[in-house]
Amino acid sequence: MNNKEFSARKLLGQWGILIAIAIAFLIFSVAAPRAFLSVDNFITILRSISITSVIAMGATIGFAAGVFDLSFASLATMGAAFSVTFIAWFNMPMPIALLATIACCMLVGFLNSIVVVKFHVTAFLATLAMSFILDGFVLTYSGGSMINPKVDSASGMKVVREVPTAFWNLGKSPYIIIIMFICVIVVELFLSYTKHGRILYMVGSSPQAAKLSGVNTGRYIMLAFFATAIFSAIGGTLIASRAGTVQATAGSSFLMPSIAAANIGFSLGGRGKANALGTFAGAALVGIVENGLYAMAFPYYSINIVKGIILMVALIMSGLSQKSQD
Amino acid sequence: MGQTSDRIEVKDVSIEFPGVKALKEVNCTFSCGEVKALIGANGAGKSTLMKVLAGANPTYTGQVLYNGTPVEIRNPGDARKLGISIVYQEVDSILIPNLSVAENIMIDYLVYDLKGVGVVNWKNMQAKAREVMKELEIDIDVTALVSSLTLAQKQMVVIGRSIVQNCKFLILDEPTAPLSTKETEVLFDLVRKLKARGCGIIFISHRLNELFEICENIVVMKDGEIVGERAVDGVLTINDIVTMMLGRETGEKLDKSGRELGENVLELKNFGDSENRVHDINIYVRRGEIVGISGLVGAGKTELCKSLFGAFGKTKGEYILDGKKVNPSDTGQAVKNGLALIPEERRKEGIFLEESVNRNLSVVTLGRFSKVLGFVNRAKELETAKDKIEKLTIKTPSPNQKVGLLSGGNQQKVTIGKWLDSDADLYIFDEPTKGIDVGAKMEIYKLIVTLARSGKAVIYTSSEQSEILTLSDRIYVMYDGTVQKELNPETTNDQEILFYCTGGK
Repeated sequence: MNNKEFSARKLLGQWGILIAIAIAFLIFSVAAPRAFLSVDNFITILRSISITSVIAMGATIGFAAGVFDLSFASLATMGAAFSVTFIAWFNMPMPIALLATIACCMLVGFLNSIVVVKFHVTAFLATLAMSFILDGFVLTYSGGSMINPKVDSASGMKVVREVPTAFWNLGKSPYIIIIMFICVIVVELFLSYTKHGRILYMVGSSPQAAKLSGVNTGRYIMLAFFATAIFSAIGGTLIASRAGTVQATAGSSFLMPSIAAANIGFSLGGRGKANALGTFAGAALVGIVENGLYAMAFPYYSINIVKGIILMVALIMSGLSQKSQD
Repeated sequence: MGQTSDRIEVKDVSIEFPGVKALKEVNCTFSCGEVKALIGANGAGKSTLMKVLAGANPTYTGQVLYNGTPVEIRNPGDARKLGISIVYQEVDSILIPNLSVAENIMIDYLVYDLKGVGVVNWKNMQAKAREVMKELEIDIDVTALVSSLTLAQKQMVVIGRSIVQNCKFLILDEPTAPLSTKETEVLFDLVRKLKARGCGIIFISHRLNELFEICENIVVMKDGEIVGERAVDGVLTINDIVTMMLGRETGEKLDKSGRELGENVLELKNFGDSENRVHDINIYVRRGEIVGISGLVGAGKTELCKSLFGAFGKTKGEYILDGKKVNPSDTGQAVKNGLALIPEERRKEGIFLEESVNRNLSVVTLGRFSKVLGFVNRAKELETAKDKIEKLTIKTPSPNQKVGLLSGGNQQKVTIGKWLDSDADLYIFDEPTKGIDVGAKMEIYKLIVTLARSGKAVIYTSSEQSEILTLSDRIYVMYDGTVQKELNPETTNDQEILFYCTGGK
C-alpha cells in the first residue's frame, strides 16, 4: 500500500466525523439557507442534542470500561419521574429533590454492578433485565399514566408543592446547553486526564491484565455503573424539565441515539475507544443532519433511515482505520 | 475396524517456520494396534510432527506413506480420510459446548449426512452415540450438554467422536496433563480398549512413569529431530529416556555475582489456595535470592504464582511476607504487600496491547503521578517511561508506540518495567521467556539478576530445566500441585530435575 492511500484512509478514519459535520453543514447551508443558516437554528440544534449528549456521557464511560449498560435509558425515565415528583408529591425543595434523584439512580447502578460483578452475569443481559424492571417500576409509580406535576396522580399522590420556575428553566436554553457542555468537559477530563479514567480504559481493554497489575476490576466496573447512573439522572431531570410532563417511555427514545453517538465517536482523533468529545461529535453530527433534513422539509418519518446510514458509515470508517493500523 | 497391518510411515519430513527449522528430516513409523509414546522437551517438535499427521501443518516437505503408498496430508480432511484423529490438549476448541454429547459425537452425521430439509433423527442419533459410548464402556449421559462435563469427560467425548469417524490412528496430545490420577486410570483403560480394537495410539506426554505403564515404544525428540526410539522392555529406565531427551548442550555463562542474600522475604507453611489448585507448599525466598520453580505443564506453577498474588482470593496455610502474616484477598492487596507478577500469558495478562508503551509502563504506579484530584501529571509520567525504556533497553520507536506492535522480548520488558518503581520486594516471574527468542532470553535473565542485586527476592518458574539451572540459587520442583523436592543447582543436574518433575520419588 502506498503512503498517500494510507494517510487518506487514516485521515478519513480518524477525522471522518468532523469532515462529515463540515460537509453536512455546507450542504444544508446551501440547500436551505433560510431555515438552516441562523444563530437561532444553531441554538435549536444544540438544545436538541443536549439530552442525548448528557445521557450518552454515561454510556461513554460504560463503553470505556467494557460495560454495555442497556438500562441507562430506562434509568433516565426513572430520573425524570423522580426529579419532578420528589418536588411536587413529596414536598422536597428542588436541590434536595435533584440530589435524591441522583442517589436513587446510583442505587440502581449499584444493584447492576452487584449482579454483574458478584454474580458474573453479562452486563448486557443484567441491564436488559434491569431496564424491564425500571420501566415497570416507573409505570407503577405513576399509576400507569403520564406524570403531570400540576395535577394529582392516578396512583393517588397529591400535588403538595408547586414545581419552581428554576426547574423548568433547566430544560431551556441557555441552561440546558451549558449543562451539556459541563457534562462533556467533566467526562473528557475524567476519562483522559485522571488516574481513574485511565484505569477504566485499562479494565475495558483487558480485564485480566488489569487484575494482574493489581487493579480491583470489580470496583472499577462499579464505578462505571455509578457514572452511567449519574448521567442518566441528570439527563432524566432535563427530560422532565423540558417536556413538563413525564411519559413512561420518555427515556427509551434516547437509548439508540446515545449508543449511536458513543460509537460514532470511537474513532475521533484515532482514539479508537469511547470518549467524551467523540460522543459529543457523534451526537452533533446526528443532530445537524436531523435538523437540516427538517429544514429541507424532508419527511420526518424517513429521517431514521438517514440516521441509520450515518451510524453504519461511521462504523465502517472506524473499522477501516483500525485495519490500516495493523 | 482396521486390520493390524495398517501403518503410517513418515519419511524425511521437514518443516520450516520463519527463522526456525521445526522438524529436520524426521523418520518414524506408526502401526495399528500399537501404543507409541512421543516425548521431548518443550519445543522439541512433538506437536509439530503430530500436526503434520493431522493435516494442520500443510507446508511440510518429505513424504508420508500409508501402507507403503505415498499420501498427501495437506488439510484435516485428508487426515480424516486416512483415519487419523487428534485429540488436542485444548479439547474445548473442538467441541461445541451448547450441544449435547450425542450431537458432538455424531457431528459428521449432523454436518454431512443430513440430506434434504435436514430433519434430525434424534432417536437414531442418540442411540448410535449411546452404542459407541457403551462399546467403549464410557459412562456419560449422551443427552447431557458438553458444557456440563468435566475435562476428562470431554476428552472421552472427543475419543468417542473419533471412533464414529472410523479412526485408525488416534493422537493424544498431552491428555493426562489436566487429569487427576483416577481420571488418568480411566483414560488408560480406554486406551487399552482402543488398542485391542486395532487402533494405533500415539501418546504425547511429559509424565515418564505414565508412558512406561501404557506404551510399548517410546520415541524421543529433541530440537526437531528424532534422537532415538526404544522399546519399553523392562530394561529401559526413566533415566535412559531423560538422558536421550536432554542430550548435552552448552550456553552463554550468566554472571550472577554481586548479590547478597538477606533475611526471608517470603515464607510459606502448608500453603494452598481455597480450591486446592496448589496445596501443602513449604518454601522460603530470601532477599537477593533467585529461587527457581521447576515443573512440567500442569504441575501448578502458574497456580502458585497467581495464588501468591491474590488472584484466587484468600489462601490456606501460613503466608508470611517480610515477617508478617498476610492473606491478600485480591491482587490490589498483593501489590500493596510488595509483590510484582510477570504472568505467563504475556499478551493476555501482562500488557495492554492496544495501549501505548508509556501507558503500559505507568499502569501500576499511576497513583504517584496523580496527586491533585486524580489528574495524571503527563509530563512526569512520560519522563518516567523514558527512563524505564532506557534502563531496560526496550526497543520502541517512541513511548507512544502501541505495545502490541513490539516484539515478544520487548513486550516482556514492558511487563517487567511496569513494576520497576512499585517498591515491590518480591518479583514473581511465571515462564517469562516463553515465546521469546534466544537472544532476548539472555537479556531477560540479566534483568532478573539486576533486580536480585538491588535486594529484590525473585521467584522464577520454568518448564525448561536448563533455564532453571542457569538462573537459580535454589530449586523447588513442583509436581501435581505441590512442591515435591528442593534441589541445589550446584549438586543437581537437569536429569535429576526432570526425574522429580515427572513424578519420580
